[in-house]
Amino acid sequence: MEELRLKRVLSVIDNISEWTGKIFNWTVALLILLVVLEVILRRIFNRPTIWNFEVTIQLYALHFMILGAYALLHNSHVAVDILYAKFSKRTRAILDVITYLIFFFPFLSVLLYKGISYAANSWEMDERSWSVFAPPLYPIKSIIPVMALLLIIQGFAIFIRQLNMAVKGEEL
Amino acid sequence: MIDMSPELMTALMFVGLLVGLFLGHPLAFVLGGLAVIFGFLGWGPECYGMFMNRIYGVMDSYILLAIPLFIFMAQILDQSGVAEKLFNTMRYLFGPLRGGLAVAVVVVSTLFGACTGIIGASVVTMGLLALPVMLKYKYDKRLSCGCIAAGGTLGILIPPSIMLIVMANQASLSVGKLFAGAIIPGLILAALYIAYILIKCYVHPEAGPTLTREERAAVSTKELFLMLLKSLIPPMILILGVLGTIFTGIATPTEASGVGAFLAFIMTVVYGRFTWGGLCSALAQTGKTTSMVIIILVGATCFTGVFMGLGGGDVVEQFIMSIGLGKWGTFVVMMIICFLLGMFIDWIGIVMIVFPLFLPIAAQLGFDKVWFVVAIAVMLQDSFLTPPFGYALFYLKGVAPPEVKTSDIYWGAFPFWRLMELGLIIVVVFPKTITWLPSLIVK
Repeated sequence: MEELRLKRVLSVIDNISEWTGKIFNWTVALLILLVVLEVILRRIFNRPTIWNFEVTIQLYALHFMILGAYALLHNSHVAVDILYAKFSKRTRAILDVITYLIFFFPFLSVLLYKGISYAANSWEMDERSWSVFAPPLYPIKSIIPVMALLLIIQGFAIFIRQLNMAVKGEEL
Repeated sequence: MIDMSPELMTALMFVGLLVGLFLGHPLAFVLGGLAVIFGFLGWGPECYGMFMNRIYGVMDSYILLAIPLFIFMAQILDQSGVAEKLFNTMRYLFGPLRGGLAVAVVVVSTLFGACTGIIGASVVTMGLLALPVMLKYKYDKRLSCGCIAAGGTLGILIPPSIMLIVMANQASLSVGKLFAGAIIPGLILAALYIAYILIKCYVHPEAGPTLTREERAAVSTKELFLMLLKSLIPPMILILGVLGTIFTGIATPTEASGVGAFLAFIMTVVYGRFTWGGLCSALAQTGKTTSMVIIILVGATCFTGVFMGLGGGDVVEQFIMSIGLGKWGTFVVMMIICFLLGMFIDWIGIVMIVFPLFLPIAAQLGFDKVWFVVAIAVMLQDSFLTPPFGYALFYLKGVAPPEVKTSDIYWGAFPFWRLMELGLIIVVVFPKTITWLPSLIVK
């Protein structure tokens, strides 16, 4: 019963990461259209926009930051597996439990905690960029804690699965 | 805060990096985790505020914006069938030569490299397309694997290249200049590979037999000429559209990457290769790869922030300078460090860690910055082929037929490292090979 509930929580987490991916993967398509549009407007019609430059940069930041958890879910983050791949499933699980505690959670907790105050600060002073277009910077700065939060919950799902494997020696 | 000497701190950070990596944890988070731990030990938690500014620096970059666009372009191009048509043509063109198929692989990879900025796509494509053909012709397995891995790796040296984009960003150089600087070195490597294949197969004809007579007769000279023309048009359009506009100063590299991705997409439509599933998988692949690459930059920028802040940069600089090997001795030491790091860490980590350390030393020794950066880019070609951690080897292993053993791939790559090092020696002896083209371009 307990286990069933836990499994459900883990699969909800996986789904969150998967759907963030499915939705925000499209950011690249939008980026390409905007970059091409600006090239056409500027080089051919000689009518550059004031917004394109900053909008595309913010979209690029949104794209790679928010997809971090999706990449983690799909195991896309580069790791050296020369020793790791040789170990048994259980040994690997034990190593993951340790490395997640030493490296992963401390780093992302700091990003979450500092990211919240960084973004809050930006909201408070209604921070805008120094350009004619002057877009607000707080939405994109808020992506830092969002990215950290998404990674922490996806990391938590992996951590729980590996912990279960390490302790009980079976998949959850 | 604990009172530790900068020397001890530097050593511990590197040890931590190696330990974390060998435990199999993703590089991005090992770097970030170490930044948190050592930032805490060296300064206390108030230093974490710096992370935000550094991370925002990675997010607020018009230069890095080209990375997802070039990655998408490569994914889409992969589906367009351009490489397939090229290989089929080159295979008949070079077929009559001993080792002709291997030469065809290098030529196609070079052309493909001038269209795309990553290595994955061309290694995978050639691995799926050319490797079975070469095995059917009883080519030497090692030679076949080596030329595919080394040829595919050219994709990230020959511009456009996401590696050169990250390097330009780190070294505050113009992307256009670095792109221009890497062209001739890239072509030198390609020429070395072709020469090696031809010589090896001339001496050992069994390593790379020629096409059979019947097969050669299947395509007439006129047909071959038409095939050549047809298959060369799409890559030429992309090369002119992307590199042409960058070098003439018509477009910024970021604009060119967008236009290139768009053109590649149009090509899949024109060739009738477009499917929704294909587009979605290209978008998904782009999302994962981009996020992976740039989040390593995020972790690494925190790591180097702490490392430099704790005086690690001075420690490494004093250490390297105190060996007292003079200008070129120091250069060799720096290259050896790049080579060794390349065995364990991927290029992104190396660029982020090594650039803040080596660039001041290089400046002090009077090396030209563009030249020095491109020389490192040539050296890092090795890092894709050196086990235990070599991207090209992984990719090839992933798609190679079962009769190809991992050891075939590793040993096959070995002679190509040597050729890469020979290439490095050539650009060192003749620095003009790098500096000449950048001096010609606009800006």
